[in-house]
Amino acid sequence: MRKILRVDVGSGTASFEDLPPDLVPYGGRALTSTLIAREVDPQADALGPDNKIVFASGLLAGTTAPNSSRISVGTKSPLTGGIKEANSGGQASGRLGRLGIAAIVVQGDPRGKKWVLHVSKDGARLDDGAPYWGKGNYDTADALREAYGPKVATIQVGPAGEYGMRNSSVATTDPEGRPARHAGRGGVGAVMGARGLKAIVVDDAGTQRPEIADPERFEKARKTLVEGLKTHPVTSQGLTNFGTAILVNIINEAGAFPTHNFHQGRFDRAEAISGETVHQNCEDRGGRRSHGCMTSCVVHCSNVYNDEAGEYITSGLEYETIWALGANCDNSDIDAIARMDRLCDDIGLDTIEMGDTFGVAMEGGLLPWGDAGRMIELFEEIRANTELGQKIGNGCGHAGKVFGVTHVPSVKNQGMPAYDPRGIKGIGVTYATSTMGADHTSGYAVATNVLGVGGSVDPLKAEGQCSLSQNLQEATAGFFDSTGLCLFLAFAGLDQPASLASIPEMISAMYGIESSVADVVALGSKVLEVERGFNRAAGLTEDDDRLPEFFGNEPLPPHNTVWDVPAEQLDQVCSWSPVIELG
Amino acid sequence: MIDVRMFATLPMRSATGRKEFQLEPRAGLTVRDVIEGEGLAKGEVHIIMINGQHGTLDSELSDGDRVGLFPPVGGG
Ligand code: SF4
Repeated sequence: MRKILRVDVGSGTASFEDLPPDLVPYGGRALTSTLIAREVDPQADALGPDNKIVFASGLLAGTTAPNSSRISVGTKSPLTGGIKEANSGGQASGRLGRLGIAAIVVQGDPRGKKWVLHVSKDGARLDDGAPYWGKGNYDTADALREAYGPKVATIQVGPAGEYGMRNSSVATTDPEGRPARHAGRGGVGAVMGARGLKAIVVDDAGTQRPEIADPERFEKARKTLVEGLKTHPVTSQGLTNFGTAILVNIINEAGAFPTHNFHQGRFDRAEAISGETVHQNCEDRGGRRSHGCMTSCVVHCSNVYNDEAGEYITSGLEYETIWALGANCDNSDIDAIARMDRLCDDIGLDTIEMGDTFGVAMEGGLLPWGDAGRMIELFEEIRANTELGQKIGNGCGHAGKVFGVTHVPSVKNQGMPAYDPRGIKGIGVTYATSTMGADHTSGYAVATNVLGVGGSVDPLKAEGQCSLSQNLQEATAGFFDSTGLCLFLAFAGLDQPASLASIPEMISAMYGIESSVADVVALGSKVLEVERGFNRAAGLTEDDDRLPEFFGNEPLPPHNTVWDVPAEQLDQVCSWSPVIELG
Repeated sequence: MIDVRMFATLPMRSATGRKEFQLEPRAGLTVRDVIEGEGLAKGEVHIIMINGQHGTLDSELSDGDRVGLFPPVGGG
């Protein structure tokens, strides 16, 4: 029986309780969002004592299922003011699965105390976190391993989270112990920091894999999925060979690669920051490509990026980061981008939000376009919590207000990822209507608009985008965010019905229930419903489901298209308030 | 002239190894002709972009076109 670990940072206690019976088949985002909706007042101050933060493992965590160790971090977001689920790879979730922990709920007012939560087969306890407070993520991870043993996995916040900055992430460690995997979006790190919780140490020594009700059935389904992943060209070649940065060239070709703070759709120096360049540098400098962010991964989209002398800079140098700190800021220095990725990981900042912030700050004149040296210096302002650091550490919306810039690419105050919605309209619908704010992962219409996966819908036309986005949002919430499976399995799942069906099959086999594809989609819709309900009660309305005005007015070169998906259609995706006709 | 760019694994798999080149426009020249000209096996090219929009193997090319050819790619 999976458990909830409830941690009170006010009383310094940690205790286990059973999952409520109706939440037994819930994991990941389904669990974080349901618990937050049940236990947190939507009107609560996100950084005040009444907010909680939930860390949930996926339904298949700790099993032999491929790519099954995503961790979901849920809370009320200090960035969007709505509900938030940010997820990340790394090792922690698989270990929580082995410990039988479905979710850790952290609550209470620490009144100045600093904590480290230690979880093992012998139980859970809060230790003094003061020795780690103020350290960057890399030093923290090293110090925690020193104190708790070389094999522990950790979940932690960097200085940005400690300061309560609205751009702050939660880091998790990868198989080599590097805190390079982040639940980045929505300022979740600030909520962990506000609880006085520097880190969670997960020690799975002496544990077994979780029990499976029908091991034979599970193994059969697992094999089907692995087979699908090993044969689909995206999950067996594209992502494996080149990582996510392979998208630089194609999104640039498609004319939807946001450049110069979303003023252009193509970057003339894209080649210098492309997946091909990253791949070459990894090979030439003794880094790694085809790296897994978790041991259960069979796709391996991650990498290890070294400098010219062969010294480690960062791991998981990804498309979004390269775009954010590169093209969006007119910067084509890939090594500088890698250094900034490391700084984001160390200080605990979301790379997308940071790149959007720099774009806005450059537009406002804080620093010259493309000045990578100055960008690197400014990270130290954030680390030191200076006034200037605060101006750029609280997201692009905040920077827009501070620097008097209205050309701010955000929805619900969350910065946009690496696809311009005028050039890929399906992802624009997801940005607008996702409960999370501008988020690409919650309904990745790019696959169908540009990559030729899961069918084909013209990216430059408004037609068909709303239903595409809605279907993807429901499927993502159900199949991936709530199971703890990596979203990249969707590339196989969208084209291979057997791979998709293997997911409910594994869940059925593990829990001794009967779950179908339709059930998982229904769960996805239910999760979205719960989240919408929370957001509505928190004060968000239809007006928050809109893209910034400039997308509708300023044509984006090279296609010179504007954002033109009608508001009435967006409102159907979200179905904010079912209209009840009376009398 | 027609600008052609080959991405990711395609240059390694083609007979010429070229990444970027220009072609003389001629009547009836299709994407298929370009791919065959590079000696790429059938099915290697998964995505065809012509001037930033999706094309097909049978799309005819004209002067000034920018063609991008990709194997299966994904990410996010
Ligand atoms: S495919 Fe990439 S993100 Fe997904 S589990 Fe593997 S390394 Fe992590």
